[in-house]
Amino acid sequence: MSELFVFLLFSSFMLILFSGFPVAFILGGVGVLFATLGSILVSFEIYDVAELRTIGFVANRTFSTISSYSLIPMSMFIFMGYMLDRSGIAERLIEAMRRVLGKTPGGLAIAVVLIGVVLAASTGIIGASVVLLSTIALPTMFKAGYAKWISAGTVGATGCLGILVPPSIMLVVMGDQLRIPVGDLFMGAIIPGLLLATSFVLFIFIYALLKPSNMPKLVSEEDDSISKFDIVLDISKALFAPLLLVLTVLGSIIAGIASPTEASGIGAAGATLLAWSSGRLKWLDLRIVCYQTGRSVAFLYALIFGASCFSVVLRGYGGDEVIENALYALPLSPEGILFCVIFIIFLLGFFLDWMEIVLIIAPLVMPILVNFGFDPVWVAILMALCLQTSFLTPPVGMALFYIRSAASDIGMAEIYKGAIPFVLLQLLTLSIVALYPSLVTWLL
Amino acid sequence: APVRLDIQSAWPLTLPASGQSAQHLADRLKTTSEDIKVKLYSAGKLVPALEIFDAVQQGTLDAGYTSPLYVAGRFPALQLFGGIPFGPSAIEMLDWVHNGGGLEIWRDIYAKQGVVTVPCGLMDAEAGGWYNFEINSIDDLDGKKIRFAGLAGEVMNKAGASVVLLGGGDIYPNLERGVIDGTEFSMPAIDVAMGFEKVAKYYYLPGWHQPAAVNELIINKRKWDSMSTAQQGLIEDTCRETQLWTVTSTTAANSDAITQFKAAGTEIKSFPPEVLAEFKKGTEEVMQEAASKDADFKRTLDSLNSYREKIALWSEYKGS
Amino acid sequence: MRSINSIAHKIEVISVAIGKAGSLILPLLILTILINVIMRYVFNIGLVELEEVQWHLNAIVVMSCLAYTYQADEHIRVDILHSRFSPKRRAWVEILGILFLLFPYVILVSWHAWGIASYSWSLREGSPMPSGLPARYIIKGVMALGLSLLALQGVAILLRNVAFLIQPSSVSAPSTSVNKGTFHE
Ligand code: NA
Ligand code: NA
Repeated sequence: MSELFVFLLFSSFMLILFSGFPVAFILGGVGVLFATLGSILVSFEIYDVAELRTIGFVANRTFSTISSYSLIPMSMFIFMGYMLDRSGIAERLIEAMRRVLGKTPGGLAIAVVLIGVVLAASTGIIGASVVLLSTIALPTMFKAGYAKWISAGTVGATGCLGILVPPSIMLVVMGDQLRIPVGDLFMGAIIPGLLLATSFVLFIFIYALLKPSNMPKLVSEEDDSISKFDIVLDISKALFAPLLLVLTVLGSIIAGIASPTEASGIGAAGATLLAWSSGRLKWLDLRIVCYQTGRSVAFLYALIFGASCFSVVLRGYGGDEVIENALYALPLSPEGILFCVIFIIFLLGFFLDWMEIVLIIAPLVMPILVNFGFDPVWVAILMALCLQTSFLTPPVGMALFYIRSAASDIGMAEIYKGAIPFVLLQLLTLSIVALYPSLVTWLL
Repeated sequence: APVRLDIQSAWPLTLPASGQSAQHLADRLKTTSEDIKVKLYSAGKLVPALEIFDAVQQGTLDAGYTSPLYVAGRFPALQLFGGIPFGPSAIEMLDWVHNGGGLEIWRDIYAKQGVVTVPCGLMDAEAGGWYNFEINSIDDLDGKKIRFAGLAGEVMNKAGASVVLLGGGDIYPNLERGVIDGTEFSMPAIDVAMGFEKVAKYYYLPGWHQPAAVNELIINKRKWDSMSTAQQGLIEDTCRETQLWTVTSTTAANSDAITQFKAAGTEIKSFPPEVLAEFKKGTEEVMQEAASKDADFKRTLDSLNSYREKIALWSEYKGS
Repeated sequence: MRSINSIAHKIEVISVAIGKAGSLILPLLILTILINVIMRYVFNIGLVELEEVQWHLNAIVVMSCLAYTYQADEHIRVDILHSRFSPKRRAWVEILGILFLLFPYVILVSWHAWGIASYSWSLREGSPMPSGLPARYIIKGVMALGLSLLALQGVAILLRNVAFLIQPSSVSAPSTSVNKGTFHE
């Protein structure tokens, strides 16, 4: 009986999702509808259901969520991201990088990846970095004669690095939901994040050697007249401020000087200072950054509230036991079950956003996997790597949508095509980290 | 008529003493009664620990297995049941609650809220905490960052330490990286699950801040009234049995844990008498301040003090 | 039609004003964290109050922006099909969604939230930490208010979509979605 209702609950959610109504309200609404159904079932003496009174818990849980100290870094990192966006750092970086890497095979794309890593390490919002890279890098790449699909793939995959490379709001939410210290998750994600970026660079380099027509070298124009020294100076100037910020924020967390909340607050203040010192910050900008942050924070929290309603109703219907029993019933070793979980997350990633997976699925499967003796930080990082793919897999891939919204002269089919090699690279990195857990645990 | 009782624990059901007691209670009720259908949920499954009281009060949840410390913001007086610095021993605590007037006050405070409490788990003494510095005089605490909760946290504040607010999962990494210099947690049998011996040098025993504590089963009043006298009686008796089970469930485990800490190289230390004297002075001030702010706190403290006066001679002569 | 749209407009003025005002608390939150850090690392003073102030401020930002975000149509949607729907069909999605998903959920939860807030008020509840902040009912009230405001914003969007179905020309700018407000910076 429980299995049936759990199945119905999930499938109604998935179906209604495609109506295009806001996801947060679908999660909450489906929860309430099933709680209502439960109250009817109880009157027919069918128990083990969620009832209407269950929704009372949602208010308690909502309060607990807004009073969570460990979620504050989410707001701060988002603020930091929008502020850096205003400071014009990315434009300066791409200009400097173009000069250095222009003559390397695939140089422009490699420059995008390197800038992506710097952006990723200074912020945690993927929407902003994908849009930013799309608007500043895609036109440059198209003009240089890069194939549209590979340009879109590079920009999309690179823009997503920010959700893995710390600081990352996904890791903040994971830490909060799975009760893993955020600092540990941050440290565990550093090497896998860099590994992923390295795999992008290698792929681009090799592909550019094999297919130079899709990634032509830059024809040098004015660049010859500028000395090497000037180029190095340019790059150092462009990199100095963001790197300083990254080192302050991540360094203070890792060195144990500050808690993640404290470090995120310092980062937000630092980014403001940076934007102000670049002469670009006006009173209106500060206000707009606040408004943007407020709206982003609100939609993320709304998803947490909605998912919390869905989850508590799912629990009432015995969802925990159904999934636990299903996993234990698999005739597999613990490693096999872990593989299954990751694979299911990969499949769910086609349709769901990382938020729904982190909020609903991860808390259900994590205790079981930890029970097998797996390191929770390692498992969480495997999930995080797997969730990277969800941004790039159709039909629902947020990064793909962001590219389309930011770049008008590229078709959806080309964007989908460009995502494929990068999804494969993500899966490759995932497998490497799965085979060598020390890549995660070494820094802990 | 059979009654369905959904209970949520404030702790994971595998946690020694606290969570395991909730499991014990549910198991006993399942064995001894066919007409109380208990469904026990682990920590946070339905409602966060700090919100259990509200959920029971509103009737969203039938019952909660929790600590009176978690409602300190609503009813400061109840902190005195959840652990008193320099307070009575476990057996004296039980005596005060059941025979010395404690439970009457406790139930009276809840009565207006539509909640019934049944004392349901007796916790043995806690440890004095994990530290990365030696405490030889009260000055050693000056400016140190320590994670400490409740009334004892106030005492530590008065002693010059800077008290930090941290969730359970954040203590270990912050201690490891030196964000905090020390932390109070629980008794050795529970501390052992946290692995603090890997990140702290000194373990101070005994815990002056909590010689004993009582956990409670809180039940929505309407639910309670809907039960028969026999059902209510069975719950109360099972809780009394659970008190005994809890306090005896950790004795050997605490010893084993200390052996394990010693093997890991932890230095077991005790607070010097001068430091304890300062803590005691601080405790008296904190108690006076709390009593002056809240009438119920004063009433409860008076009851406790008069009980302790009444048994003073026997406590003194029996030795301990 | 004009009166329906003007009621919606009035509601949205409130949503936007509260959201914008609430999000301007962010610099204050950053400042509080900085002060906390300086107090702790320079002066060795750890104040529980100051740490509680941080999540109080963050909670105000969140709760005041819920409705504003819906007004700006920034609550995440899976728009793979939605973006290809005709405006009429999109209006139907919004109307049915609000009636059968948003309202049951948000109204029920805010009803419970008001219960929690008024109970907290009746107890004059404070922080469970003795040196924490008093008056916890205020922040619980903020939670109830934010959820109620979201429900109200739902009414506004419902009205606008109904108005659109009855008379499509009543939406002023054809380039913007019916769900999207007109208050963008
Ligand atoms: Na990042
Ligand atoms: Na996807």
